[in-house]
Amino acid sequence: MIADGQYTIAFFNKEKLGKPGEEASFYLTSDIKPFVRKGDSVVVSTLLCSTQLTQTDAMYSLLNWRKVPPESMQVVLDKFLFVTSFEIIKFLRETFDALFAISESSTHGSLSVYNAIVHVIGILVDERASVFTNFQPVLDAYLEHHFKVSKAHETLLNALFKQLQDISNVSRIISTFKVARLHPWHR
Amino acid sequence: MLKFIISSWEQSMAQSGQPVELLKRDLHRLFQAITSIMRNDTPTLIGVQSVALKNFPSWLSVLDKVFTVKELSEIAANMINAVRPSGTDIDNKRKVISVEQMGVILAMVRGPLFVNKGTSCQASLSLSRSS
Repeated sequence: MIADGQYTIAFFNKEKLGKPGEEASFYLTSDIKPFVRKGDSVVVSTLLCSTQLTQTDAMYSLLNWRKVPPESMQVVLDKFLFVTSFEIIKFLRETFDALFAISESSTHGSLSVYNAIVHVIGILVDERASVFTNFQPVLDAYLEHHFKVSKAHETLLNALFKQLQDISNVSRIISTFKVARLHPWHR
Repeated sequence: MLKFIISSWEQSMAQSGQPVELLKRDLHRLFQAITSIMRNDTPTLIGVQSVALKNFPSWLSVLDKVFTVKELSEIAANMINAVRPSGTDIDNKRKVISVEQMGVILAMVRGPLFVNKGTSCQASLSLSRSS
């Protein structure tokens, strides 16, 4: 995957390079400086517009978390918190599926997964910070038709309890209280 | 979040017959932790307490699958009464908390705990005992 962004593509000396790379990304990512023609390059900006695919590195890694080495999972979960709301909403179901699947696998820190789940629910319920609160019916539909994790309550309750015991982290506790709220009947 | 917890527990109950008492025990533990935060006088927690009170009524509508009306009313009463501004402590922020407390009581009276005569009687008894 090549992330959205600006890339400087060098021209290559065909005679030195010999057989060209089979993948287009070969020219963007490979270290083939010896074959570059000095001073000749073209700058390309890439921006993927898709309802099916992502070019966001952290999102891609999360959705394909089984391919991520266990030692890198923490970094993926940390980076996920900075993925734009638009991107998360685009993959809402897949994101929840991935996060709950990660929480089911005992190899990854439950609190980090919990924080990621709180982050996603926050996008749907935090009326002050998000423009996606009208997506709550999508969350209800996910819960009703797709959510099939019979052990999630144990993981979530443990993480919730741990979070509430650390009163030094006020912003996290506030986020937790906000995401506990769904469809208030007290208005 | 609570909907995820309840939904997951329902699936667990359907698959392996996990008793509701286990979930109740964990949720009680959780509410004890929240009540402990509500009782804490540290000024930096006033925002947390205010948000908790503001959102609390909506939690009850999810938890009615697990707790009886009486249990829910007692949880609510404990939560409301955990924050008690003292006489010398009533500055503007504490007034906000008091307003939120009244908001919770109002929301409860308008909500499912008071939908019929029997349940409203139990809920009002719990609230009146603690206030």
